[in-house]
Amino acid sequence: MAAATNPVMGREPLPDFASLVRANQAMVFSIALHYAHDRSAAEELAQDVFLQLHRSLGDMQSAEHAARWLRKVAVHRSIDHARRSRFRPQVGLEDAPEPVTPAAAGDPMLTERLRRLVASLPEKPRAVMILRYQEDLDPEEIAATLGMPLRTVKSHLQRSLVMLREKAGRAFTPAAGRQNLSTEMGEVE
Amino acid sequence: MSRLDDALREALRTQDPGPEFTARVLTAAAGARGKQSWWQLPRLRWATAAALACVLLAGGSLEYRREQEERQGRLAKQQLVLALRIAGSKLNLARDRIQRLNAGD
Repeated sequence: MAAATNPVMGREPLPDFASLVRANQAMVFSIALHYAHDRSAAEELAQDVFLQLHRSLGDMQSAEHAARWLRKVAVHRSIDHARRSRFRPQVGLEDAPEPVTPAAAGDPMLTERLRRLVASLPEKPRAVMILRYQEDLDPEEIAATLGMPLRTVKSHLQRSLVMLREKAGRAFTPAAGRQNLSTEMGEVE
Repeated sequence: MSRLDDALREALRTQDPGPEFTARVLTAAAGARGKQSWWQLPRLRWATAAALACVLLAGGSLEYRREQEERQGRLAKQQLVLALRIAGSKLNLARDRIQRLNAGD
């Protein structure tokens, strides 16, 4: 497939569709996966997002523009999917074993529990958390992506972190993990 | 950076769906292009619009010609009726004159 013509002079030509898919599929798929916590639903959602890109390829100005567009569409499609299917986590949070000892880095049980907890958050806070910790966006970028006031983004981050800390069990209690919640809140601010 | 931050980054790290996914998306995109409605193809859309404009123009021209002919027909009919009326009155005049001449004899 040949590279598409870039309508904007002086910018890098837009890569072809296949290159855009390869470059962004991990990002789009992971947003959907972390949102829905369901691999097949995530693959379907990610495919729909790329088909939408294929239809809108003429509007893309650069690879970076396409990546930003894909991130935005992936998040909004995931929210829509959750609303349509009234998605609830397939395994209740109560079923996930609570860690009884401070978690080691890369602990698969803790990792899975955190994924479930994130997937159990309400729609908007879930999207905020995924953009913050998967995409490493700062609150301003998250606000721009979701079309949400900055204050709301910060509030979602704070509340979600408090909730995650409480529900993740002893792994992150101050005694066990020597965590300082105020440090985290300061980071959000 | 807190441990919870690290753990969240680890839990939410990106995962590649694999090359099968890429192939599936490209196949679906090719299929979608094949199934694209004729109205979504720009060249065909312009050609259709041009053909439609031509048909409308030709139809309009035919209708104009038909109306012109109809108008000329109506005019000709009016002229014929007038000519017949004139001819009728002339015949009446001639008949009256003949009758008077016969009466004078």
